[in-house]
Amino acid sequence: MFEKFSQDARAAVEGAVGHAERADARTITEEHLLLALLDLLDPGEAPGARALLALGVDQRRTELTTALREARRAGGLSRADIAALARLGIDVGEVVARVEEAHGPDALAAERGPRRWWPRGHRPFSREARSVLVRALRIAQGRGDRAIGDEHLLLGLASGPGVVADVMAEHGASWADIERALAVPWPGRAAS
Amino acid sequence: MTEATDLAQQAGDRDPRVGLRAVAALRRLVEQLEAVQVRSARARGWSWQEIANELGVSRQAVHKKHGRH
Repeated sequence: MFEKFSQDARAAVEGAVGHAERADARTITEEHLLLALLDLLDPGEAPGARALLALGVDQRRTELTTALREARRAGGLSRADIAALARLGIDVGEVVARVEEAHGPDALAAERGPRRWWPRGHRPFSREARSVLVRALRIAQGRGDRAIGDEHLLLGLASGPGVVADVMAEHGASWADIERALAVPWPGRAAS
Repeated sequence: MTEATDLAQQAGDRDPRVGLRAVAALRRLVEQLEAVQVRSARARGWSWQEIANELGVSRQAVHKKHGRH
């Protein structure tokens, strides 16, 4: 599958592996993928990175990474999830506080399930992260693009259910935002 | 927080989107809570059978889900 990836997309996938390693995570998650895609903002030349720059996401990078951390701390719940539970009378903040009081900081952020042996000597992608890669492939095919680029990975993340797509949307990088930014030809944005 | 909270409030309690999201979120929270409690019980020397009894599931089920291999 990776032979169809552009250089930028390969850099993002390798970056995600690096983020997972540094976090000593069991799997490479959507969050690691997003962090790696945000790392491409620095050169800012990859198509997806350009879209994020056009959307001003670079200005909200710290908030975004903080929101990802907060979501993990709350057991993998986004702000929208927490608001929906508040409508049911469930105060997630209170739940997190009490669990952490009894079981230590980041108790709800811990990864679940058995730590498995890595068959190929490296940590696997999580089920959700694998779905992102598959969606990115379909999106690239749907757009008639030959290679999977960082923009397709971004769209793959943004189109998914789950906390990373929520956090992206909450920081001005929803699927629709990214689509819109990608539709503006570069450097057309400077002219508009 | 306020933005998302407003959104949920505007949508109202009868909006299926908010209700379904709450269900999915609760499910995720329950899974994390279960993991925390099982780890804690194991650390206190509880057997898988004792944990399974409290959770109302089989010993095999709880071991498969949480056991270290």
